[in-house]
Amino acid sequence: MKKGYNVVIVGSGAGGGVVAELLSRYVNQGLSVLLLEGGPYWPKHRFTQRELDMSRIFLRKGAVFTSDMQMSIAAASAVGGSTAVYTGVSFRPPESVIEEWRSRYGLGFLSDSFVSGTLDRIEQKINVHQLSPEEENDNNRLFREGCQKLNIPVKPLRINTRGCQGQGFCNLGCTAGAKQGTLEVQIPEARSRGVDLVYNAWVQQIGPRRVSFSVRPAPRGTEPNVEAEGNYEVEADCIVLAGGALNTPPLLLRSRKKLGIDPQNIGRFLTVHPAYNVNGVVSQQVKNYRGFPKLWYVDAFSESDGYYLETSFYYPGVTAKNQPISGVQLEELMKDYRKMMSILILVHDDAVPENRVGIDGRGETVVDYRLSDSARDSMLAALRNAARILFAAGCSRASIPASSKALLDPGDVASLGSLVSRDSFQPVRQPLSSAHPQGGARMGKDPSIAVTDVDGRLHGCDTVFVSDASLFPTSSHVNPYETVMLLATHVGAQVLRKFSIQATEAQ
Amino acid sequence: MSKTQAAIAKLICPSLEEPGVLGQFTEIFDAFFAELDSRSRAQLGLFFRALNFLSLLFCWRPLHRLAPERRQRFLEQVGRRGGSKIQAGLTGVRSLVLLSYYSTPHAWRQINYEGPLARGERP
Repeated sequence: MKKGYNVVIVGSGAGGGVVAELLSRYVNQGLSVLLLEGGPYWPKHRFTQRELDMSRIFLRKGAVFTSDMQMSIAAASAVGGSTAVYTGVSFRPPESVIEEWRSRYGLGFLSDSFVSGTLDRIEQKINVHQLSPEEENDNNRLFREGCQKLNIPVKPLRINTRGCQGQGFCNLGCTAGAKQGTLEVQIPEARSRGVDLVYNAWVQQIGPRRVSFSVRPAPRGTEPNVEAEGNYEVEADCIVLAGGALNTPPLLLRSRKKLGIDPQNIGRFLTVHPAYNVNGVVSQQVKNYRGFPKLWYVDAFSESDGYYLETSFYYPGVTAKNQPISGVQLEELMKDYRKMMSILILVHDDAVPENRVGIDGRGETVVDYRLSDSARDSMLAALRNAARILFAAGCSRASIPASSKALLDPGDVASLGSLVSRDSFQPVRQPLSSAHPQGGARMGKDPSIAVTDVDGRLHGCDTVFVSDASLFPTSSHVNPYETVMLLATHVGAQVLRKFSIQATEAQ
Repeated sequence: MSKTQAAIAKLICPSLEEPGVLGQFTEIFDAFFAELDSRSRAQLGLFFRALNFLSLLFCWRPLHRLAPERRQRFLEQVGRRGGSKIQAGLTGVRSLVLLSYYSTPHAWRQINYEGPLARGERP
């Protein structure tokens, strides 16, 4: 590691990885780049496929709770960021979202041709494709059949895998390296071209041209450190923040005095895609933990009721935790783990200033988030529909959060409106979850409502850029990594312009 | 693992009363607990002490000395009357216990979960 670089990138997920790869093309022309990652480096051969063990790959072990304890938010803390632990579900941002970002927030660079051209190149690079019918496991088949019985249209998900072995442990890291996240694609490319990578590097503060960080001990089971433990400072002509929506706003808040920026909007307008996962029990073996877990989704209720449904799979501990029951009843239900269907609900939430990522007295991340009444009603509608799908698919029992009856049976379908209602909705007992935090350093022309300009550069400090999901002015409505990569491609090109380099082809 | 923690865990996972199971669970729970960040550990420690104090105050016995039915009732009452922080604490402890229990060999046998594949093994 040198004492100074042209560019220091903080964070190696979808945003940081893409910028690192883009800049690495110009290292042979003298551009120097340092990539700092706060988490450890778990190459694929170190993934253990053990739930509790791999919980260490997530920030605070996957349990970053909102201050009211009604939601836990998962974000990875490792080289590759959340692309190391996502399932690889690949969505382009909906046209309606792009149109809103263009018209209300001034993101005019998101022209139809830029969006489609850039995403075409990204998808080609990381092999986004539709799985074949032979890859449909039992849970996905039952979900499709249940929806078809109810005349609910299902759509195939697109996935970014290459050489998937169907091991089913996507969310614990892929031992085959099949998921084409930045861990497998962009970061190895960037390193091979001369980008320096330092992991376990926790950035405490930045100035306009300085990054202060400490290298912490490498956790057991991860790659040894490449730099000695201790505190470091490096100079940078330009800094790119890409630590994700739970890290970038807190870093900006910790650095606001040195950067001389207005903290008013930092951390605000957080959206999270509030989620519940629901399970039902069928009579035959489902064995959802083998085969690729996600093939189908439903967006038929996106516009009308504000939610998506996706097929899903979770490991025993998280599955048990998700059930609204306990004791003997839970143990009896879990004995049917291998007969469980699983559906994930993702609710669209509005970007409001009260929902925010901040810092406590020690500078650590705190999240204030309140589920709006409309998002709660969306969730209730989604829970009822998910229950209908489970029973249409043949489930004899279903455990639904926010139900006043512990376990529902097919005879309850007619009463779902009263059984799953506002009265029984108690997230403090059955916390919501989220894996898609977005916003907090929103991009926009107008400094009074945005943290960065339309190039991703901080309003008020032209040497610091943001390149992660915290840029989103509003919720992407879909799994966000492609949208992050889209914005990162634009931000990376603007960083290159600072050095009078014209990016030849964005991706 | 403290007696208070074990007493609560046994309510959440009754199979912990079976011979040998608590040992498997304790090993995993303690390792998981030790790797939590210092703030979470401190909060949880305080929470367990608070529960025990309330048990002494209202039931005249430490939590682990209450009969299972009484212990269950006590925690339900505390959850209902103690406000959202107490309820959130109970929910957090439940998660910790379930994640640990369903990582034990006993639980995997109980639910017929096959666990990790060998390196490179296709299902």
